[in-house]
Amino acid sequence: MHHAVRFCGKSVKGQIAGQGGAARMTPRNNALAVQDLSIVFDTRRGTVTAIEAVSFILGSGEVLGIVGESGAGKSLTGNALIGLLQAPGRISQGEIRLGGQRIDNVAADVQRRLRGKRIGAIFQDPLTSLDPLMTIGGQLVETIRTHLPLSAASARVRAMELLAEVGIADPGARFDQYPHQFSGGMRQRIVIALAIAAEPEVIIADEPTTALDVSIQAQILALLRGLARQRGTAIMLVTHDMGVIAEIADRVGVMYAGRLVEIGPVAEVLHSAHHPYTAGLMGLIPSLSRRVERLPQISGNMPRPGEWPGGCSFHPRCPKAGPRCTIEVPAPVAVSDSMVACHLFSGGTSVVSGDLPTKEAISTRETAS
Amino acid sequence: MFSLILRRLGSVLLVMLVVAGLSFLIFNYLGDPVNNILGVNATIEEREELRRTLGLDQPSHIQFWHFLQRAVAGDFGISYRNRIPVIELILSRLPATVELVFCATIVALSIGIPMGVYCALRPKGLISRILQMISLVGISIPQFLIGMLLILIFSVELRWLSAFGRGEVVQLGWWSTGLLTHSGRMALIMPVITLAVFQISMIMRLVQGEMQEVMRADFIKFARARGLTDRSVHLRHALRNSLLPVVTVVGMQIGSLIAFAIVCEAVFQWPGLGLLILQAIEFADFPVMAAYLALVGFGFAMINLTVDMTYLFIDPRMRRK
Amino acid sequence: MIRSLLKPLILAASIAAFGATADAKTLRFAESQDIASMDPHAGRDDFALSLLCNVYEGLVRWNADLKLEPALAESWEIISDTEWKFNLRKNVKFHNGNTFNADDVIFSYHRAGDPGSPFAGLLEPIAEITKVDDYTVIFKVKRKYALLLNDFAGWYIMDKEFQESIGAGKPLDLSSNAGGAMQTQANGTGPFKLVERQPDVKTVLAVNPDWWDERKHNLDEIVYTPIANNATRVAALLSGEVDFIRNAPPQDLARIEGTSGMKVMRGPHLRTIFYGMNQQGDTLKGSGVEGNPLKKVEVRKAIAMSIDVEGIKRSIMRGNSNPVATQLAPQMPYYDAALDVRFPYDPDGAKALLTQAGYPDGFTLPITCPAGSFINDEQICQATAGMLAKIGIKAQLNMVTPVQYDTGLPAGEFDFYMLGWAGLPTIDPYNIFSATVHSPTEKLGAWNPKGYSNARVDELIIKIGEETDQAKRQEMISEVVKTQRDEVGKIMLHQQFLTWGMTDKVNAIVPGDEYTRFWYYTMN
Ligand SMILES: Nc1ncnc2c1ncn2[C@@H]1O[C@H](COP(=O)(O)OP(=O)(O)O)[C@@H](O)[C@H]1O
Ligand code: SF4
Ligand SMILES: [Mg+2]
Repeated sequence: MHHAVRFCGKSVKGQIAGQGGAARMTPRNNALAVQDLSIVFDTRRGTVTAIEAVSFILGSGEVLGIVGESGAGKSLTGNALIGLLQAPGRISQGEIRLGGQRIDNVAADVQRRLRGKRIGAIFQDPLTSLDPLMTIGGQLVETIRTHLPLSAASARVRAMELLAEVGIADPGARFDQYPHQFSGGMRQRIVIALAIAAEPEVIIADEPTTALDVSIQAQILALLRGLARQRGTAIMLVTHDMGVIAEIADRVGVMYAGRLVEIGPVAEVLHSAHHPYTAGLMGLIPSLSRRVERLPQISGNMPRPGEWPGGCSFHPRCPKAGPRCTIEVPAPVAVSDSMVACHLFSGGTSVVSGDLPTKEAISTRETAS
Repeated sequence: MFSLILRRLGSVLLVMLVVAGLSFLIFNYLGDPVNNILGVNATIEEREELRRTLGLDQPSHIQFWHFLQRAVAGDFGISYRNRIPVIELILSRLPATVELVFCATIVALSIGIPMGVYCALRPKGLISRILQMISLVGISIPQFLIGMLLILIFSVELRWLSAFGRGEVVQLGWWSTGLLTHSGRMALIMPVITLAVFQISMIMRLVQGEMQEVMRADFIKFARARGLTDRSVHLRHALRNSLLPVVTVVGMQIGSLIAFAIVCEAVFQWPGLGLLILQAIEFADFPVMAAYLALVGFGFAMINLTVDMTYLFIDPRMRRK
Repeated sequence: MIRSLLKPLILAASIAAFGATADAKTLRFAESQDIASMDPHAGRDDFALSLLCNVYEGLVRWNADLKLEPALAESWEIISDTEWKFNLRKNVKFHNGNTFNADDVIFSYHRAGDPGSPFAGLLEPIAEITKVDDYTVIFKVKRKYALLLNDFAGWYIMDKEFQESIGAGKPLDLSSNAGGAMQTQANGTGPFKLVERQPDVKTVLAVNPDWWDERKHNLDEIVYTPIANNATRVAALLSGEVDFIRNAPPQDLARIEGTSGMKVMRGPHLRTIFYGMNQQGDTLKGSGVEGNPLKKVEVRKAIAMSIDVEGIKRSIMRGNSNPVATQLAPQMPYYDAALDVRFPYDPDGAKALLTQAGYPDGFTLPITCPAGSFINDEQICQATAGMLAKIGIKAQLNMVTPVQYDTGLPAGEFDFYMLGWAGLPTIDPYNIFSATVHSPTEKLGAWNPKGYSNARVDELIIKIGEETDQAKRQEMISEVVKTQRDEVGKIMLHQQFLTWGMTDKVNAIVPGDEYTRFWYYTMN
């Protein structure tokens, strides 16, 4: 499974232009705050870091896209947020705050109660996300009653409303049907209905449209955007499809080898990327409308956890790498409306020092982009 | 669905026909009952005479044809050994075997499934490792040995349980049950354990394997993401989805339990079909053997049908057809 | 409602299970199989008769020392060479209260002896039966016949009225359900009567208080349970669930004897074990040599000399056997000790004999072995194969099930086979000779197919069957035995021992015919 970043070239510019106004540099209201999050795997050969020092904020009503090549750590981050990291993975450092309260270090049962109630999740494959042996109504009612003190009858009414809300026609008739009786797009709508059953403040959507037809993708994305706009739900949308990002994201974060290398408003990241990796990704935009195996401008592959080179993980592939890059891990710094983790923006790639980035260093960004 | 049942019943008949036919072919190699009826002192003349009377001098396909003709009319003949109608004989032995297999299945399921679920959820835990080791032993010890071991401990040493028989039975119409008397229930203990040990181990391993597989499925992850309780995730979703192959195997196992029961019944002198067929083989009691084999074929086929029906019940995806 | 219905049942059951009162003497007896039915004419089946002898009686019976004594006939006389008159015992009642008389004897003769009945062969010598009065009958035999009394000891008398009332007038009727009634009912005159029977589960006999004979036993009840599995049967004895098992498996004897309160009673069996062989065929299939080596007396003698029967006794039979040189066990009437001298165990001499016979390199010998018919049969066959190898004969063992064996042997399918013969139920050398020594014909030599054949011996055997004078019989019997021994008609092995396991409470008799004559048993 080596997904490459892909980009659906259709009307990207229009979308971005259309959203330009909605994009905000800082979220108006922090629904979810991730601070310095690191995830490690305890393996027989020792502890391997898979996510390192990831920080970002997700605001209410905002759609934050997370992009990156397959294996960059997007899903791992998403799983950590909903408290479903599977052993041997664990959070080794950092904090996750939901509405200001820490949720990463609470008891498993407390975490369980948050899931579905305050943080919903949507996964890639709608075909396999639903229990094939239970009616969709049953699964809805079960979810609703887990979180809300409703009688079976009122849970049923609520389930019908949800089905209607996600665009299932004739919910009454379809309530008692099984997943296999629905198309892929319909199933993803049901998955969304399940995710929003208890009206969570945050939804982690991990590649929610990857498995769907292009035509249906747009409908699902519209549904998600509607949630953010109308309900004020904060949505973290993991994808490796730039087209999806361009279509609905307000801000976008770029992950590379377990680190968040750049995050900023969608227009800025798409059109004037700062980080050399992001720039490489964006370099693909005009020329490609289909999947590619890897970045043609940039030779080599993204390293797996445990194989990260010292310093900036990107340096073996980076056209702008300098001596400093091989030694020192770049810390994220504010550049324009974005945060960028690259020495180019924090004092240059040649000088080996632990100093804070100077104005001079930041000014080199012009040359970088 | 109706046509499915019809089609199945057709194949059941075919199975029974083939089984009965094969059994007649086998009979030729088993010897004949003449010696058992006439004793060792009979003359050659007498033997030939009796063979003619019983129709054993005919080629086996003719014998089979006669058997079929009578079987169609519901007449499976008279047992050479007991001189009573085979059907009567089989019906009188059926309850003992059915009760034994039924109890063993219930025990196997009610112990094997929880054990499998536990091991699936905590595959690395100490208890799981112990259970897995026990199940390995359970799968590999021959049934005969388990039975004898139980007898040695509970009958010979402790003198708690009777080494043989069904205890006192109560007659409910033609059905005889040991479940209603104390001694009947006590008598069930050792044979049921003997028969269930293998099944417990097998069901445990099967459930564990299936459930571990299912636990990796997306819908389980999604069920967790929905915030469902562990209990609900494990039992309502994971276990249920693991049960489909379990149903198949348990179905087949019930069939093989009837066959396995032969050993168990012999060890505990359990007066069921297994003991009956052993005696029939010893005596070359062909009518009983043919009817037994046909019945077992029928039983297997019916179990298959039930398994299919259970599928329909459990898995909505199958109902489409 | 159900409860109140069940209660008496359960109560009755528990009483049956644990014995009614403290001093009621119940003998709980386990055996490897159940009898096929309670019908003593349904099969000439010594196993069934060995138990049914407690329920039914014949005109005469065997006593504890296997001597014939009067039973339902008080006395008899030989009127002529072909006429026997029997005076029947008066005041004998069947278990149901019916009176025993001549009609029952005549009924039983026809029931057992009519063509198509399993006992027709046994009663074949009888031409006609006539009723003189209610307590006198005359049997007319077809020819002079020595063994009428012996035969009558194994032919049991049934109650005419009773059998007809339950529709069981014929014993072997496979076309109807006639035999079914005899599964669970019995009406004899014997010392015990049937009170309960669940086929293959248990059979309960109670003492017959109206028995005509003086009661020497002290049993009140006999509970007979078939337990097919040897180990379970022994466990049932050791656990105190049964008091008595017949034929304890050899490997468990030490265990039983080592358990306090348990014992093993031993007795010589009338059965002697031997190998019979094809001495008629011109070739021996699979032997790898020309002709049939078994036709040569030297070869047969070489085989006999190669077998270390003492070694078999020691290491396989664990002492529970008695090597013999002839087919007559020492307990058999007309046994001649002077003839019971085996060929010496002498492998070198045997090898020399083989060379002399023209087989210096031996040959291949297919040995058919019944698995489970005789004590340790498989091991003995294997040991034999090893011993034959030492003189250059390669044995090929062919194990068959008892029922295959019983079918295949009389059909002449085997060329070298283990066989055992006890002479039951006749208990006379004639039975052994006519079945296993006489040349095979329609009527005789059924168990000697392609086997030993000697015209003089055949002639003697016929005469032995007719002669009633003891001295003359002895002379002829000894001649048959000697001739066959000298010509090595059979390769003799040993006499089996009976080993019956029981608790110390039981005092049993262990007769050579394996019959359980419970009227001689007592319990402390
Ligand atoms: N159990 C595990 N042990 C070791 N490495 C793992 C494990 N699970 C995932 N990883 C690694 O973590 C990295 C991040 O995975 P993931 O978050 O699924 O990537 P993506 O960005 O494609 O969603 C991948 O390189 C993957 O190989
Ligand atoms: S830190 Fe250095 S290697 Fe890393 S992206 Fe910036 S320039 Fe390239
Ligand atoms: Mg992923």
